[in-house]
Amino acid sequence: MKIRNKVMYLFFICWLPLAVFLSILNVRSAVHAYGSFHGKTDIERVGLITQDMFSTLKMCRELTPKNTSIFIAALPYEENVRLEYYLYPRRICWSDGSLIPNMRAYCQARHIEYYISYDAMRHPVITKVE
Amino acid sequence: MGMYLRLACALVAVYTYGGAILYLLGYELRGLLKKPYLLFCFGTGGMSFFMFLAAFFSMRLSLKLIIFGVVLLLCLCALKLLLQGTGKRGWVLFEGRPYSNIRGDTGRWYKIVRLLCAAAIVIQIICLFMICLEQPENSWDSLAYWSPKAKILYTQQNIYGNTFDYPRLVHKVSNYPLLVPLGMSNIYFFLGQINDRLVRLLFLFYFIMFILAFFDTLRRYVPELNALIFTAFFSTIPRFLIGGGSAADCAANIPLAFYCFIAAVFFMRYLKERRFELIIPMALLLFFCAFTKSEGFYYGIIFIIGSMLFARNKADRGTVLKDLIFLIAAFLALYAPWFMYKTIFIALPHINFPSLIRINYFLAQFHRLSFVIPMLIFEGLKVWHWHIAGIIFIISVIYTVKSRVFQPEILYLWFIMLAFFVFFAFAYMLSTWWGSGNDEVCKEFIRSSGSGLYFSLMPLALLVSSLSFC
Repeated sequence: MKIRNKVMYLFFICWLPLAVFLSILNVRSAVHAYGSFHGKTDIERVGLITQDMFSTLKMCRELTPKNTSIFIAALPYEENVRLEYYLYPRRICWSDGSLIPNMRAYCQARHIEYYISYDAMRHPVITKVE
Repeated sequence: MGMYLRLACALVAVYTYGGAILYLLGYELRGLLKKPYLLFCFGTGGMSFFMFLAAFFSMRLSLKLIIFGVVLLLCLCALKLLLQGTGKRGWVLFEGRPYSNIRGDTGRWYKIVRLLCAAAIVIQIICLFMICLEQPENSWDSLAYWSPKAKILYTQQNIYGNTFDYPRLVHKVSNYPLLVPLGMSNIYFFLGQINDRLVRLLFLFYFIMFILAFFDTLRRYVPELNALIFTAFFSTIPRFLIGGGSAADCAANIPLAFYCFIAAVFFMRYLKERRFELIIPMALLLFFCAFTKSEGFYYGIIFIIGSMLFARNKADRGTVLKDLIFLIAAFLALYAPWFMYKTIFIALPHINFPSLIRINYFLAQFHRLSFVIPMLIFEGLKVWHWHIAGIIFIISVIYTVKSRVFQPEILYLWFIMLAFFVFFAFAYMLSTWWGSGNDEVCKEFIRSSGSGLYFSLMPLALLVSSLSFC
């Protein structure tokens, strides 16, 4: 057998276990996706992937007009970015982590129309800035 | 069902764009259907460029505009067909039959291995297809960088809207190129709505076409069995299937790797055959790279420098130089609208990185190479990311050096890969992201984004490895 073929078969043998393992992983992911998402509406699917954030998302969509600005307090940076995507064309603002003593005054100064805070049970509360 | 039909129409439009562009560039009409990956490559890139150009001249982006582009291109093709007739033969990417048809292997083992390889590829694609159809996009790269832009392009229908360069929404990357968001918005225009689920199929198509391109290229140089083993290997690289930027994610890593691979193949063909007809397609491919991700621009420079270095002799160098000057001029003409738009209309929210590079800054950051290079090498050898692709490449280099058979294609690809690596090492060294001057931040940056380099590098590594062993 030529050295070329020997090398090829060696690679093939090294590759095979990984291919099997990856195929199993991928099949499991596909089955999971099918089981969890099949037959659901698009908004239900978004609800499944956004999980905890979904209550905020749903509330903002239902209670605020599209061309508005919303301030969100106390969410991790990554969730803010995701919310920003899902709530477009609403403008989402958030603080850099510093504590804001008077939310209403803060929003008024920046012409932000709504702000969202979270109660003790981590439920979102939306307030319109007058 | 209606949505799937609309999606199919979007994909047909992409392939039509690609076919028409290639035919207008002189590609052999009969050979087009045998190269679906080329149609897809020039279709996605060409369509995005057409949309960008229209938007650049303040035309509203819409389904009508996309269909107008298709009709316009088809009319031009018909005109060419009428004037030229079917008598004149065009150029093709690969002349002659594949290697396997000349010296094929047969036998029981051959059939078993072939079946296993094909099964592995098909299983991955079916699984990804199911995931894309059922689960909406939720990866960080997509939701922070690419999808918001596509959403804005679709809803605002132009590139000058006041929220387009809104720094928060596009996550401080308003200067990122627009090929991928425009491709996504093209799907939205056909669907008539934003759909985070069906748009993922565009990226799965990129991956499928990439696999086809990889296999078709390999079987021109090596026996079919070897080509299939390497293709199966390529299609099961974990990083292409799982995690951010993978085949089912709306991100730019796989599109850039795809354009970069096709560009490498075109450059290899050009260096071998010196055909002038390849120059305009090459310029387009370099533009697609630059219009997909910012580093694509530097990849283009590397390809061009490599071509100059690997010209066969002095006389040859003159011809190559003339061709490359023409290529650069064509590329700059294509790149000019994007460059103007980026420079004039995009307000960079972060520090303007290139303006920071001074000799003092360069020297101050030079020590970073001591950890940047080992970290990047380590990334390429991560088995859970790239399996043994990096190890195969190292073995192939040792094997080639030992056997002293240096094909020009191998040397050219080595140069390209080394230059990509050096470029990335220096880019990380000079990086100002996440706070300049802090080595720990730079290390964290490499850990989180270092694999981006290997999306474009690993397909080339596998290609050059297969050439070395055959």
